[in-house]
Amino acid sequence: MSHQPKTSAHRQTPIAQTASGNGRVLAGLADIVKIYTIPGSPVEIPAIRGVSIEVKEGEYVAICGHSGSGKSTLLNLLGCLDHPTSGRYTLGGLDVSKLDDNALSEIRSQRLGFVFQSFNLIPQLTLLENLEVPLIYQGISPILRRQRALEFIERVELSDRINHRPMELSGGQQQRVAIARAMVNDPLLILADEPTGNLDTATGEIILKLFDQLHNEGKTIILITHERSVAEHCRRIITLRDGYVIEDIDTRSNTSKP
Amino acid sequence: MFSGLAIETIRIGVKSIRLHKLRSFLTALGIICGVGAVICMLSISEGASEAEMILIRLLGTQNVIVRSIRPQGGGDVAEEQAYLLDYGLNRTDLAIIENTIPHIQRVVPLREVAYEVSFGPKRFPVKVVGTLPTFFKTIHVNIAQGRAIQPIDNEKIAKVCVIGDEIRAQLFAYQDPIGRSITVSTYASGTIPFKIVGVLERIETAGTPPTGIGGRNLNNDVFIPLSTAEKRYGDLQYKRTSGSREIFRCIYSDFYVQVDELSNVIPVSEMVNQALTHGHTKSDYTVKVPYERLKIAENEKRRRRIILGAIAGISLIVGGIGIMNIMLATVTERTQEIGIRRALGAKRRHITMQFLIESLILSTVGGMIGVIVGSVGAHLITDLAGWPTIIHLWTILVSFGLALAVGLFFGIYPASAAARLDPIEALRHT
Repeated sequence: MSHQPKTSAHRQTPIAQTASGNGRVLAGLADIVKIYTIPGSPVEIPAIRGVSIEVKEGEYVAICGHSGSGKSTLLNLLGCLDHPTSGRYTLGGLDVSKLDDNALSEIRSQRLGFVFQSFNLIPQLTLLENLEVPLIYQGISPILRRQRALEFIERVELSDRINHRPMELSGGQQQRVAIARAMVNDPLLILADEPTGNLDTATGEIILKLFDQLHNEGKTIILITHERSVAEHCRRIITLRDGYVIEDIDTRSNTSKP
Repeated sequence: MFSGLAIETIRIGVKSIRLHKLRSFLTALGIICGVGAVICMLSISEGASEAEMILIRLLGTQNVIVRSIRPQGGGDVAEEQAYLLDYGLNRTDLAIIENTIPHIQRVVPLREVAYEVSFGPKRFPVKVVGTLPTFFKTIHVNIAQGRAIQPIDNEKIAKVCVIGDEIRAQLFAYQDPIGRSITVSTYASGTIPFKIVGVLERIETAGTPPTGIGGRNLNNDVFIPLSTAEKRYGDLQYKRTSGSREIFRCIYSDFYVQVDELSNVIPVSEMVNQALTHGHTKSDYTVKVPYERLKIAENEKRRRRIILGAIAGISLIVGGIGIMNIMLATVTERTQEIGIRRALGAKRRHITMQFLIESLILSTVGGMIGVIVGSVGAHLITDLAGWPTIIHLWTILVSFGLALAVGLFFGIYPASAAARLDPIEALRHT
């Protein structure tokens, strides 16, 4: 396996002090490779060819790239939905790259929050119930669950719609619920996959403001997008192409990492 | 914590079922029909068996019954020409049994003396039987009205009788029979009135004729003290049949031999058979062992139960396939939801449980409705077809349990298919 320009840890350190990061590495990818194989066929499809990234606490990172660049694969790996073929992924100090399905579910439940392009709320459930879903799998008591869900739905200003179904809401409103859902389990890392992809520009702007706000509160956010304008909300932009990191820049200082 | 999650899972299941009311009902219908069929089939099988069992128990499983039978024609020509037919159990036989065979608690002889009674202008064909007071206890039949024959009746050679329920119904439909007299007429002894002192409870055998196994229809018998039967009537009997008459001698029609323990019933019956062989040149008696019949009947019952149960069980399996079919459709339909739940932290077992509980709810509700449908169905069968049906508690428990087992069995595959889905693929599914 050929290794492309390596962004090793010691070279990243100074830049990581930027943004609101406090310097502690939250998510660390080291030499991550992901190759898809088709069962029964010798064909191998490399999606990620060796990526090393470190995301520090409180960072607001965009991962950019065209389709086929490997950004979705990277998101799946960051989201503990998939195993890397090789390499090491540490999340919150825990090596999760070799964990089994059960343990990964646990990690997703405790440490991660997802925001999807198509919102992915459960259509049969009310907004409030949708917010409770992650808490159910944490085994939180119904009363506490309800309390937490109400608290977070208020934060996205949809308290008057708690008993509505997702289909009765506009896309922007649905995405706000989805963001609330991603927050409700108090995750270490929020992963957003094209969160504005299904929204018009104005609504998308509202959603991005919400992410900005979360960032200001100290949340660590990784946002996947192919739109430059969206990425520019972030403090750091990592660009992928053909499974490699080709650019890693700090938008404030505009310093590029090699 | 676990119970909270379980409740949540059940809530999700109920919700999903209520979302597709018609579909869920149709799915449950398979189970409803299956459980209903199992209950109906078993209730018919049990009803039929029960009728036979009642008969056998009536004879007493601890009893060995020895019964006189008329030898078949073509036997002893000389004897037939003499117009005297001499057959059956006699006093020597009684003495042999009483004195030589162990493990016997008591021997109750029965002596038939007449075959018709009348009350006023009404006549009714019966069997007038002399017996001992212990007879009723031996065959476990209760007195519905009045009293049984007492030892004192035998001592005093009293002209009293206890009648079967059919006689009461035929002759005393609208009056109390106790204290009234019925008349017994025979060619040899003339007309003798007997005072009714008691009426036997009706022997309900649900369908099959009550004479079935023991050869006695207790509903049609008039019981008198044995001493009266012996003193008032001679050993010879005259019976007129169409165009001819016959004279015969049959001292005892039956012996009811009560054995001390169930395990001794078969040996005693063999000993009785052996003991009687010597005194009888022709086969004019038979030894019946209700216990043996009981075992045969129980085997038959088991076989019938298995066959009918299996037929009905097939419909339950078909119902289960229906559940599996729908659950597989549900899993496909809800693939994205599965993906979302997995991304939000649901483990495989959470997904498995979610779908398994849904199929269990379907089969539980279907099973409960099926129990009701089956019970109503069994009653309808009895009302409309006149077949006896019996629903035991175990029938309900077994059929309901089967429904649950079917729901579990056919729910496992769709549930594990749901759990095996790759969360990424599932999320992408629309």
